[in-house]
Amino acid sequence: MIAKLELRDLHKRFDDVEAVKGLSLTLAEGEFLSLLGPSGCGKSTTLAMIVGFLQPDEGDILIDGRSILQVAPQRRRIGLVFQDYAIFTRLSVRANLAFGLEAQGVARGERKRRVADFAEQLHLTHLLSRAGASLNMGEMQAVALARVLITEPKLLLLDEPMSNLDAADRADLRGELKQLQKQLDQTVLYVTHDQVEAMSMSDRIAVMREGLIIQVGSPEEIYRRPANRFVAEFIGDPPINILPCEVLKSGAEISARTACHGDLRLGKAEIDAGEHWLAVRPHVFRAGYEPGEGTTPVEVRFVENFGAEHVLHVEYGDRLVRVVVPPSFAGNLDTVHLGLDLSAVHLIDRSSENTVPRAALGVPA
Amino acid sequence: MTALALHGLCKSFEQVLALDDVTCEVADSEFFCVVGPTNAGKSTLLKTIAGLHKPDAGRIDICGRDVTAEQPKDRRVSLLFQNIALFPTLTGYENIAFPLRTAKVPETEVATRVQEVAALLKVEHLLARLPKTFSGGEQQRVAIGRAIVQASDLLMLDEPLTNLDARIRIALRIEFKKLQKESGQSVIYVTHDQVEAMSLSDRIAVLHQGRFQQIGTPDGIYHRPANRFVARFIGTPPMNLMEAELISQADDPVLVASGFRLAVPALRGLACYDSLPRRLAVGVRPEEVRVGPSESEKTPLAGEVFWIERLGSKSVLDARLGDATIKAVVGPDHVVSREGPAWFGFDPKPHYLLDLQSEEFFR
Repeated sequence: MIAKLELRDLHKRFDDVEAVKGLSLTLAEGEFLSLLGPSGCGKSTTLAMIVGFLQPDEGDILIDGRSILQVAPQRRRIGLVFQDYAIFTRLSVRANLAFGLEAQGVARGERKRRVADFAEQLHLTHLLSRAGASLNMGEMQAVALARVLITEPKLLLLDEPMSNLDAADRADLRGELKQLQKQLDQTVLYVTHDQVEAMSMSDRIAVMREGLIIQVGSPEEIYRRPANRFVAEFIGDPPINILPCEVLKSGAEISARTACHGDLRLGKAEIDAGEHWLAVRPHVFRAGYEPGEGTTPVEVRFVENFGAEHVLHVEYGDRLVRVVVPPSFAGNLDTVHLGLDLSAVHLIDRSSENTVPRAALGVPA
Repeated sequence: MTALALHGLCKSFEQVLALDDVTCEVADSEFFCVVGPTNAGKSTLLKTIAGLHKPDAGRIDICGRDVTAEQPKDRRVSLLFQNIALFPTLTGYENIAFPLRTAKVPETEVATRVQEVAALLKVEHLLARLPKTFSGGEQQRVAIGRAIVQASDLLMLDEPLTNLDARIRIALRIEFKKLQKESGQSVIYVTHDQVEAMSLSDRIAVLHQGRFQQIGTPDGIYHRPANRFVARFIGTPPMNLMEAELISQADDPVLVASGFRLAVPALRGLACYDSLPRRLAVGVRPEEVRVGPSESEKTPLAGEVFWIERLGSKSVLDARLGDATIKAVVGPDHVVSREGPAWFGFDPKPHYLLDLQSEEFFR
């Protein structure tokens, strides 16, 4: 049951707010695509139009090449799972799973067989006789997902389905959901503001801002080659550092004057001289106890302890930057020596806020 | 000086025991986090300290005064709820000034205090505006301003960042930390998010089913969890716990499971070494699992990677090791970058052996 979804130039306006401003996107058969953006970016409006709760003002929505705008929501064969677990708490898990099949008019014996098969496939067999109300949050969301999937939707839409779960449940459900999607070869559109969820499960991510998609790509592309400042800051945990710099030109070669690292030679790039930004991931800085080549001493203001890694907040010119260090790094240092891997630094044009590709010195753009 | 002391606090609602013998001390100027899953009793605890619930048993001391029988308004605590409730018809300034005006503080002093707080929280631009024009993060900062504008002996925050976007959450988390460091305010901070608890706290109390499972520094809780619940709740991905048999071979302790056989002489260092049972579980943090493309001294165990989560700065591998499933964290450019056979290694630590009966780690 794999379907292709196409969104063509969708527009939606509410009174004086244009929530979606010409959005186009194609999901291939069996693709897992995340629509990622902050609240208010239009992602839930987009979802509501696909489901049929809202009609677009302009544009078209096609499943397998056929427009569904004139098809009633319940006939679109779209499965939807929300943040709040839509399960019947007074019914057993078995009855919950059978519910959608009953609504589709599947005969009793067939229902029984499919519920048993599906529960086994999803490792839910041990829960079948339990009442919905007796499940923990992770189990509830797994059942909510199962009762949608058992109806064999052409397209599965998930709207922030993990927001209410604890970290351990979230980590488990991410793995299970992805396995299941591959196993069922299900086309999935996943709406979230959580970049970890988007990064970890998606074939591709579409980053959305103010009603528009501003970059589409694989998780790795989005992380390593963010198109602009917004994407750079939205993806990655801890967040990327944005440092002011002054770009100096000497022929085609440019360098960036920084607050703490002097003039960095960045090779060739199309950018005007003047004030711009460098975007540096917290993992790209190297912190050491001793001075080394190209390092600068900086003051540590405070440390965030995450167990598996620590984040130093160090003074860099007039601002604080984040630097990731392993937990073995001594915790109470006042000063560290900071180095920088130039190949992984992004140059961002201050007027357009776009990332500037640069080529040279064997440095990947 | 102790900002707060709880002695054997108990509270039941009908048949449900929400707080079960809760005892702890919070030092002056300490940032103390209470972390636990939904329904652990976290909000009940705060409301009981604030005086909105009356405990069934136990005593509450705030700055050395027994306040158990006092009215909420006399306790000199402030409580900020998860759901921000700004007065919609009052400006940012009037919202922040509200507690001061209620306390009949002179207007000149109100103005000074509001300006100070606004500068600290970077909300000066919101003072003349109405809440409906604020973003989520701005509303939250103004609400925090209202909670801290009047000096209190104890500031209590109930999931203050939960309803916000991930990015705003990270930014506000940092502001909290700076704010508290600068002001020296004693804070109790309740959250279900262990990342917040780890990064903000001087000490953490892990609450589950109304009981404190463990109280300690972030490092202490992370590296020396008391029991299975704490080990799994703190840290993402959670700690791997694999059942194993402890046998003795040529006088050396050896841990055996279907996926590994490891001699661990260091286990002798355990005080209870001689009374360890045969069956137990061994814990290993995902970042402590070594992964390699081939068999080596460091990676002697054959396994299979069946899923990789690529998170940009690191990748999480899900793998089968015998009949156990484990998670390992590796760098983004690790040689093992796809599903399939791989080799693993880890060094079991003596304090990561779990008693399968009591679910506590052996000490």
